[in-house]
Amino acid sequence: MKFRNIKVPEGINVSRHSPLAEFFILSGGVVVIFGGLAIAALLLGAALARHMPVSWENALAAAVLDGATLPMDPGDGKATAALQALADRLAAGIDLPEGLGVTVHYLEDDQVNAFATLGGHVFFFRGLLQRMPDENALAMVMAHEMAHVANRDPAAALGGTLLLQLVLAVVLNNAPESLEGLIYGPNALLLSDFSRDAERLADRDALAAVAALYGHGAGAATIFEVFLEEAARTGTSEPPAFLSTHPLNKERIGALNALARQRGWALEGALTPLPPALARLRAKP
Amino acid sequence: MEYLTEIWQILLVVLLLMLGYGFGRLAERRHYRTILRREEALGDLIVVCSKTLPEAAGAPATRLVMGSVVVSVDYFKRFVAHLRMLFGGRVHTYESLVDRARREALLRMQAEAKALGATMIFNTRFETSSISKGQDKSVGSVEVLAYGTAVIP
Repeated sequence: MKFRNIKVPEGINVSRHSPLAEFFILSGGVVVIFGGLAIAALLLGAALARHMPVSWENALAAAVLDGATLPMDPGDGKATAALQALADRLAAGIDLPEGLGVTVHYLEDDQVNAFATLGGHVFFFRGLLQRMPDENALAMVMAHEMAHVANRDPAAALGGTLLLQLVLAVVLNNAPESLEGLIYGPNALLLSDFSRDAERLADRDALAAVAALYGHGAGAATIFEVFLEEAARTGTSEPPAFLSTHPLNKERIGALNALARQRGWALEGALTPLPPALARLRAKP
Repeated sequence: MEYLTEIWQILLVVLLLMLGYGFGRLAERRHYRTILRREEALGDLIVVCSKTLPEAAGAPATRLVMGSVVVSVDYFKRFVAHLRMLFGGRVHTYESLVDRARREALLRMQAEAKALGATMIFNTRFETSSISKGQDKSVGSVEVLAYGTAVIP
């Protein structure tokens, strides 16, 4: 027997293929499949939560808020009472579900913000109250938060994120760690898109409630101008629209003007001064 | 500023993928070039897998020779392989890695035998093991050991 090394042809143990094409096809598949799954989970969770009984939502809110001690406003509760009175007047123009009332709270902080959460609890930061020039501007913010309550947005956000987190936990538990970014990235975009839609709807409902109360929409856009001024003052810029949880302020002002034109609401009118308890906050440095 | 962190994280993955693809491809091309050249050069040293020597070889001196190599997978290959784990199918990106490692180990074993003045290696065997097995965060690498009995006339 004679031994010889014969040259073996190339390309038998290694397949000829384009690794880049494989990469794009596979990652595209992951984004489509898991993105679809995430959208389904978010929408289903949100839709289910919007229909949960009001009593459940109130019980959930109570579980979180009970035991939490909120600070009293500087006017010994007078500012909070004035805010609550405004909410009660606006309630006529907002379609709140049976059994879901709005409770206003004051928060001692410089943030220029307000938010609504489960059970109709609406929170106002001192920073925002101090920058409200008149009652009409404040009413727009209040009506916006009340519209979130009426649309059950806090509950929907909770239900949607819970189901989304559950699906992500199951998927990510089985997916290799390096793919997390591929799966998480689109979800952040998805959540912010979902949130932007809810904000637009709340803006529309709020303008309707304000117009119903005062007979005109004057001062309704003030809040967005305040946000823009605040951003200019602190030197922060708005994030790009597709990454933000809220539509851009300029877009929101434009949408309000368009809606007012369409419904025939005047955007000029006599502005109502702030109730004394709230005007006093503004005077404070 | 939260969105900046998100953008940065996505950019980082893209950067790592591009680096992995670029450098991985470069390394692989270079490696294949030397493999082909050295296989040509060591072609006269017979390598077989049979357990016993042919009768005609008589009773020469023998010695254990081996060649071992560790090759690391790059970020891009690993990423694509992980995608494969979800969908199934042939992991093309790892095939070239293992092929290069086996051939390199064989070449190193041949080089060792050549240095000993051998004309043939019989009973050639391969061992393959993965380094950093089970550590999910680390980029894996493969070790291949080729060994056999060199025949020194």
